[in-house]
Amino acid sequence: MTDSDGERRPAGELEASVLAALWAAGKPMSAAQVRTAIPQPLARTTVATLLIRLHEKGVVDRSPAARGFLYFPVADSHGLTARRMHQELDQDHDRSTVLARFVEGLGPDDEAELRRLLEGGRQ
Amino acid sequence: MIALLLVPLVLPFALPPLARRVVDRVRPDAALWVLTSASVALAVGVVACLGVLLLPVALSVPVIAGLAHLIQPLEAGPTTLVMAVSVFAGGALAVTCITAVRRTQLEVRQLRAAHVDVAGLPDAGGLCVVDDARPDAYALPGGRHSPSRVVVTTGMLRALTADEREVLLAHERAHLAARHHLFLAAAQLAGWCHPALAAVAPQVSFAAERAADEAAALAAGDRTLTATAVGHAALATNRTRTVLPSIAPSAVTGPVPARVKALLAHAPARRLAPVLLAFVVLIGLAGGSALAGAASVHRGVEIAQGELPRP
Repeated sequence: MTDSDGERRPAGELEASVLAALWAAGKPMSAAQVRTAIPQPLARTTVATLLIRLHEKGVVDRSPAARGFLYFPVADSHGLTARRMHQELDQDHDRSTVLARFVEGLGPDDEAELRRLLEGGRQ
Repeated sequence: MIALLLVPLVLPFALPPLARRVVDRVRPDAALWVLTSASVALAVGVVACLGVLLLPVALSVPVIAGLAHLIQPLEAGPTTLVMAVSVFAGGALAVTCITAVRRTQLEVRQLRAAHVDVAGLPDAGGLCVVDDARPDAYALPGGRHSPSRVVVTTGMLRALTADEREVLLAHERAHLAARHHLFLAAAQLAGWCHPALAAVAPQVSFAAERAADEAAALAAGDRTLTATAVGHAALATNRTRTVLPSIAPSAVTGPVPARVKALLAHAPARRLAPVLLAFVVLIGLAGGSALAGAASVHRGVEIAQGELPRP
């Protein structure tokens, strides 16, 4: 794959590659590290532009480092918690009992919120 | 001859062995088209014949016979036999309709749930990453309100090398670009109409996977790398995966060893002519006998209406 071949790919595919590399690394990376972590041979400026675009979209976040920024992917923390709850539920044979116990243990505020959600009044 | 209407009900049994030869020998994208259209055509034949076969028993009900302006009973052959077949056709048609409606509802529900699962996730270039240690990857076809997306878990991304990740993404993108979910949905719908066509649905799904593999191999420019990526993704995938709508093609559907083997072999050739001929004959037979059977029933109805003289 030549340098120009990497540059010719659609921008969306390159953004996806960068995002995949950041998630795969599991730790914040500098633009230079991202450049070596993706298989496409891209110019330094291209990687920097991609990271800035991803940052603007809110897909990655960054923290200042000694030189430039360190980039890391934004986790959907609410979704993650919800998925963990689903996983716990899936592991138990008696789903309805677990759900019933869970609802019993909810405070009045949570209960009102749950009722509102179930009635379809989303946000 | 009303018995001709039974031929399209038997012909689908010839499709599964043919389908196996097709996925082995024909380019996967062509195989996908051929198998799906053959399945759908034969399914239409099955449903149409069941519908016409229902007529003798329906027209033996006085009210319906009156509505159809029959002045004498419809004669379509030995009465007991024709009525038995007719009742069976009615039952089969009812079962097909109920199955199709219920399973479609289930599929739609699962598709919606899958979209809700990733609705809040950030999306870059059509890729959604789910922070989940269980390796999984699938192509989620878009709906009216949600775009199509490639969904990959962090577990899957971490199980692959950088080059393999690109292959995985290219594979899932190929599913979405070629709209493989429509082929899978059509093949599944056909499968609910006839048990032999249900046996063809896995072959259609395999052809879709192979087509996406070939597209990924073309994008990567490396068949061996693509084969390794497919193998690694399959090995990594945890069997306790989340419930997915069956029309969302995932990275590890189908017999993976066969896919790896096909990738390590040379690019598939296009040997379509003999296969196409077989399919044309099959569908022609089904169509021809269905039409001839329907024409004979139609003639019978006209005789019963007094518009044609008794032969």
